[in-house]
Parts: sequence; structure tokens; C-alpha cells
Amino acid sequence: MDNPENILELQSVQKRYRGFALDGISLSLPQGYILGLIGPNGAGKTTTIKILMNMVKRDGGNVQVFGLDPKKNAKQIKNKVGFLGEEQQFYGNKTVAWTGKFVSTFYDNWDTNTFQSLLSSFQISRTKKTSELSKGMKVRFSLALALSHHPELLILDEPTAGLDPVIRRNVLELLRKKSKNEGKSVIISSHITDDIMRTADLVAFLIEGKIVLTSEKDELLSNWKRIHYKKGALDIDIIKSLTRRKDHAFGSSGVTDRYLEIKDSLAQGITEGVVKIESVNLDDILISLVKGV
Amino acid sequence: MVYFIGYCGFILILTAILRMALGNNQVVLLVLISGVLILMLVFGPVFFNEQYEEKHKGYDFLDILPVSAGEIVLAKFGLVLVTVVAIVGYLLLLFSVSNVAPNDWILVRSYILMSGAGCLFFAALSYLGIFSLGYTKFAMIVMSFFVLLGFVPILILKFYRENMDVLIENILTFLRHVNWLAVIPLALIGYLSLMFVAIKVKE
Repeated sequence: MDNPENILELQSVQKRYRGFALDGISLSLPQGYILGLIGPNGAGKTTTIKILMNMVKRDGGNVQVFGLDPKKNAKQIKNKVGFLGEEQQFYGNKTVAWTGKFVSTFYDNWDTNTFQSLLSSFQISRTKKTSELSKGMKVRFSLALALSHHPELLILDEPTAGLDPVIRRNVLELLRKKSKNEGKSVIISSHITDDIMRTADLVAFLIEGKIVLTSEKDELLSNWKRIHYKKGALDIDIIKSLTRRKDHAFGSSGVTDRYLEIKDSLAQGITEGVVKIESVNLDDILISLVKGV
Repeated sequence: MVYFIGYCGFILILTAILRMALGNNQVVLLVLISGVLILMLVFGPVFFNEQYEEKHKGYDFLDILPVSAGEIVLAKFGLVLVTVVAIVGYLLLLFSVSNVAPNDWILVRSYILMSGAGCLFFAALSYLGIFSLGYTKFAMIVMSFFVLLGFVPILILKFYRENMDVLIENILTFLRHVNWLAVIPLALIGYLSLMFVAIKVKE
């Protein structure tokens, strides 16, 4: 690994399918951070995550997880990773207890007490068949399985898809706690940017198989702002640099990705009330980036 | 295990009944039946398990666990090998204490060993087929194969109607001359080679 503090690194990773390609993706995740992988459906998020787990073989580039190549060391890597996919697959006619016992045999570091306590806190009955679990229950059960071997890295592919808001919030809270209190690293992919907003320290936007932007979330949100302005209030260069420009009855607006850089030149307009600054969310940024591609 | 015990019990009862009804001479008929049953006993669980894996997307579940494709294939092939060895061993033991005439014993031994070897070969081919095509597609191919297999007796009757005795004698001569000591290592080598191919396919 180039940087030993990075728990995972992807360099120029490529994967080609008919009609779609991951085009030289580069990413890194330092230990103890949560990385949110944002992108529209079909952008390549699942493929990227599956490459990390060696569930999909890459065509080119380098991947290192814990300093190991998933192609050659998938078993060692999976032993230290907790994975939660978009769809939860279990042997449907087996019980929760059986599934836990079955999964436990594969991990070196399985902790039955942690598993039992997670089942209790998630209110999952040990005697229930896995096919009888609701979507929310399945996600929580998968999370219990993913956390019971004390993984150093959690890889979550659209973990909250199809969950109701209460369970979604609980799952995200748990991830946040695991990262902050136990120093776990997390990579979470989602097209629901609100999930990333709540949990991630770092964000990467993946659009049409390319990483178009990576940044610390707070820095990103500090730089990306919507500027509302009256005619003549802004320099023409600033106006030209704005994306998603709109004209309306009270003036115009547009989104900038370098607010901190132009902040001083906007100060006078803000004082005079002809320029207003509005925070944007990750959704706005994603839409700006998608339209820019 | 349940299948195996059931199989052993079934053969044991069948042996006793045939012996009471027909005497020792009919033991060859029983051996023929046993050989066919070896195939059923092995193929039943193989296809049942793979259908189960497909129904529950078992391989997707296993894919996220720290277990390699090689270990999965090894476990499946290992189980088939243990089952076949146990059944072949059981049948050889059963017939060796069944007062089979020395001439018949050579036939019995060759037939059972050949059945076991064939069983290993077809089980390995089945896994290879399932891993490369998926259970559903492969099951369709196997079903078509068995439909075609139904024509074999008709073809045999057509070409050997006049000299069926010659055909049977040819088969018996072949079985008498099979080098049974060579069958075991050859079957094992073939089976293990196909297992390595299956590992590559699964990976």
C-alpha cells in the first residue's frame, strides 16, 4: 500500500461489461473513516464493491485491502470484513440460530456473545426461519452477522434500500457508533444521499463508471453553495463558473463548487442584500455532477 | 448419512428376500440392481443439493464468507467420494459374504467397481456442468439426455436381436477381464482431475 494508514486502496481499476465499464477508478480509505460512495443507479457502485470482495474479477488496475490483493487473498480479507449487500441471501428454510452457527464456522474471530447481544438488541428471534424475516429484519440480521466477528472494515452496498425511515436511521446510527467508538472503517454505497450525509466523513461520486469527485464531506459542503443574486450583483466570471443557473422573477441563482475561494468577492453583495448564499446537499451536488458529465 | 443407511438397509433386505425366493444364483441380478441404485443414491443428493443452492442463492451467500471456491468444490467432491467409497465398500463386503460362486464373484466385483467409477465420473461431470451452466440449464440437459437414453434399449434390440447372447457374453467377458486393481486408481485420478477443472470453473 502506498499509504500504510489506508485500509483500502484502488488504483486505476477497470472492469468491462457489455454496455458498461468501470473506467480507471482510484479511491482510498484511511482507517477509522466512513467513505460514502454516491452515484446514480448503474454508475458502478456495486461492481466497485464486489471487486473489493473479489466477487467480481477486475480487468485491470490495482486493489489492496489491508495491504492484500483480493484476487489472491480473498479469504484473509473476508475474514476481517463485514459485508452487507443490497439483497440479503440466506438459506430460507433454516433458522436464525442455525444460520449464525453456520456462518460462525467460517470466521477465526467469531464472538457468539456479540452475536447473541446484537440479535437481542435488534429484536430478532433465534427460532425464526430466515425466510420469515421482513426486509428490515433481514438487513438487521445481516448486520448482526457482519459485526459478530469484529471486522476491521465494513463494506455496505445500498444497505438501507427498501427500509423504513426508523430502521434506516437505527442502522446508520449503529454504523456511525462503530466507526467513532471502535475505529472501524466503513465504505457505504448508496444512491440515497441522505444516508451518506448522516454517516460519511469522506465522499466519492461515481458517475458512469468514473470517479468524478472525492473529498471530505465537510470541505465539500463548505465549497458547494447555491448563490442567489440580483442582476449586476456578481462578476461575469463568477456567473460563468456557476452550474445549474436559473433565472426567476426575483433574480438568478446558480451553484458554485469554489465558494471558499470567491467568498470575499461576494461579501459586499451579501451586505447589500443582493447576494444570498444557500447551503446545498449531496443530492444537489450529485445532480450538478450528473448534468456536467 | 440417512440416505446411506437407508440404502444399506434396502440392499440387505433385498438380498435376503431374493435369496429366500430364488437362491444364491440370483445374486448377480441383485448386483445389477445395486449398481443402478449407486447412481441414484449419489445423483439424488447431488441434484437435490444443487437445486437447493440455486433456490436459496446459496453460492451468493457463501461468496461473502471467508471460504474459497476451491474449498466449496473440495467439500462437495469429497462428500461424493466418501459416499461412493462407502457404498462400493458395503456392496463388496455384502457380496463377499454371500456365498457367490467364484466365477460370479469376478463379475460382481468388476461390475460394482465399474459402477462406482462411473458414478464418480458422472458426478464430477454434473458438478462441472452445474458450475459452468447453472443448475436449471444443466438439469434440462440431463433430462434430455435421459430421454435419449430411453432409446438405447431399442437400439440394442434392433442391432442385437438375433444375437443377444453374443452381446451379453461380450459384456461378461469384458467384466471378467477388467483389471479391477487398475480401475480404482484410474477412477480416482480421473475424478480428482475433473475436480481441479471444476475448481477453476468455479473460481
